[in-house]
Amino acid sequence: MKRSRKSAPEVNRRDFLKGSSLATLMSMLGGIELRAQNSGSEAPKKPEGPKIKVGVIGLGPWGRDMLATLGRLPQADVAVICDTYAASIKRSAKNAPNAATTEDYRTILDNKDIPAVIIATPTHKHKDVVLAAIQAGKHVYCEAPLATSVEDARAIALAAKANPKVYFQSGLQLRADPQRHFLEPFIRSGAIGPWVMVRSQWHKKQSWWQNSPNADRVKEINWRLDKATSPGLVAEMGVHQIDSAGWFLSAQPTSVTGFGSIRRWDDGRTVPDTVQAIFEYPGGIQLTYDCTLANSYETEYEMFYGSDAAVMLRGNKAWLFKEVDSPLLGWEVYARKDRFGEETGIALVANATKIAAQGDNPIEDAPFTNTPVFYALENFLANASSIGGAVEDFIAAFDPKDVGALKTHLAGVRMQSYAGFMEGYVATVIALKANEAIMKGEKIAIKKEWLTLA
Amino acid sequence: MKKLLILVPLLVASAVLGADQMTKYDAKPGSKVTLDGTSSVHDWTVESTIIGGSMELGFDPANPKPGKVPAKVTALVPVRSLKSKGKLDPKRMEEVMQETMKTQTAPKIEYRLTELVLKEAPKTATDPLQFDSKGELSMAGVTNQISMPVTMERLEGNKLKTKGATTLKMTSFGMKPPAPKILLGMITTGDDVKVSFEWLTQKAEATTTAAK
Repeated sequence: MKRSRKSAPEVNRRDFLKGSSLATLMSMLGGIELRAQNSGSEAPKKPEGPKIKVGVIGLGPWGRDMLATLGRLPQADVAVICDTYAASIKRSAKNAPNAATTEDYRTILDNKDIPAVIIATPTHKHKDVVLAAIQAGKHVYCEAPLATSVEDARAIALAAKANPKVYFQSGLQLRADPQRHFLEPFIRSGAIGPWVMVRSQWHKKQSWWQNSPNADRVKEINWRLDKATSPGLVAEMGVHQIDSAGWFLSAQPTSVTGFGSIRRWDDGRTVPDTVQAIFEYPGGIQLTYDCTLANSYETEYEMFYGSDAAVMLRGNKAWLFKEVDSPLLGWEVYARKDRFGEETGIALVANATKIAAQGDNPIEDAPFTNTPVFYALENFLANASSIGGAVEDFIAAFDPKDVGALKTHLAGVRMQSYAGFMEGYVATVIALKANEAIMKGEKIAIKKEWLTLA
Repeated sequence: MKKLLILVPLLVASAVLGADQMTKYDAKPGSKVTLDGTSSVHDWTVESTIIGGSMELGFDPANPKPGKVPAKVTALVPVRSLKSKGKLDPKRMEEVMQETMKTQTAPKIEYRLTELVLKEAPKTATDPLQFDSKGELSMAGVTNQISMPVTMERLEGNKLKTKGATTLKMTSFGMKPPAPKILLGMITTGDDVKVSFEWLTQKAEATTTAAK
């Protein structure tokens, strides 16, 4: 992950201050908007890198969502789409009208004209496809979690590590979200005071059940509801937010305690529809995480608590809630406040331009309006192009067997933010251990050696 | 007598061929090429660690004789491998550079040596060799003759480090000095670009070829 931070927008208090405006100041009853300045030109944003051919493998609901997202990325040339179920291919065709179709992913891997693949098959089927793709020299975007077992996740990560010519991105899309790259240094700067705790949730009211006239197909598409094939809610959904907490805390949990039960959808499923997990981090910091399909109240958000303030991340927005006894930071005098019941949140909006800062609608002028998966795929395409080009240049100039020199050369390639195989592996192991704790209803100590590939 | 008359020119010819045998050196990682320029805001620098190609030398770098020496050199640098070293929006700088250098149609900077002259015999065995060089440089689809002094240093492992620097004008290669909009507004760039390089090569395993 060491390369991924390079493109993170930097922010400091002066930047925040520059983004404020008198108009905004006067328009609010003590409300102050907190913004960072745009780090680049105000010219229209150009696509990140050249067009690149990709194959999309796995066209379930999430795969189709990613396909639709790729359709909004001018640098994506979706050459082939693949699923073992013909109806899924048909359903996806409108989002990739020029793409060839196949039911066998190996035909994509055999196609030398396609340098990159996006793998969105069911989690328990990732390993075979990913290993074959890496073997075929394809750049790989693999959805998170990487696998449903630690062994499979390890095999994927080791294969990615052993093949430096292949760019591997794990689908922890929050790691590519520019809003989070704005907030990470802000939170770590000490602006919220010493850490107190973290709390995250993902709440939806939906069964996740999918129907089909074919009984075998019903079993296959409802893999998430069967404990034999599903890593559970905490891994399927929670992996992203739990990883985000570890990223911001710069730490990994030492233990996880889990609880789970079926509260609403007692339809024969063998995985809980409601789970809670408590992760302990070094220094006595805890993350409380809950995830349910039985109630949608307050949907999804993350709270980072310090003794001076709390930060709430919700969608592509964030707010700071200060304690009355916290020291004056300075910039908040000019920042805008939004009301949350009895609380007043100072809007934390990254990368806004000075002109945008003169607006008075915190919803409309949020600068990062795309979804995290949009940024993750955009960065995947850009990074795959960069690494592909760098490998090509190296091989054209030097002995391709000089792997050490190649790695050194690739380490200098400027990358867009992403989660690599290591982040994907660590996040997967933690999420799988959380699911194990939930299924067993017990506390599991997370050994350090589980989180390494050594 | 007739046999002797035939043998003498043959011996002379083989002696000449021996003297002109070429030793090949291939490009190795560890090189660096830098382009430095100026602008209305601040100086700019782009850098690549990839210099491909090879050189063939018809002299012994350990015991060279002053004057024109037999040598063939072709070197290339992929334009996309040039990365901005500045802190201000390096990505935008690279976009501007690649556009200016017409990367789509001229993806490589290429150099071909036409003449190499050793200025003087080195005083000690470890002194770098000092040459004057002439060659053809192709950039942005335009080829120009350039001259520059270069030094050649012998390193362990049959390696040679060749260094050189020269100043070029963008306009002489058909490039208009760009005036991009970066950060605070429009900036203008100067026509002069200083090109400097350190090129690492190593004696190839199949070392010698006959000179043409």
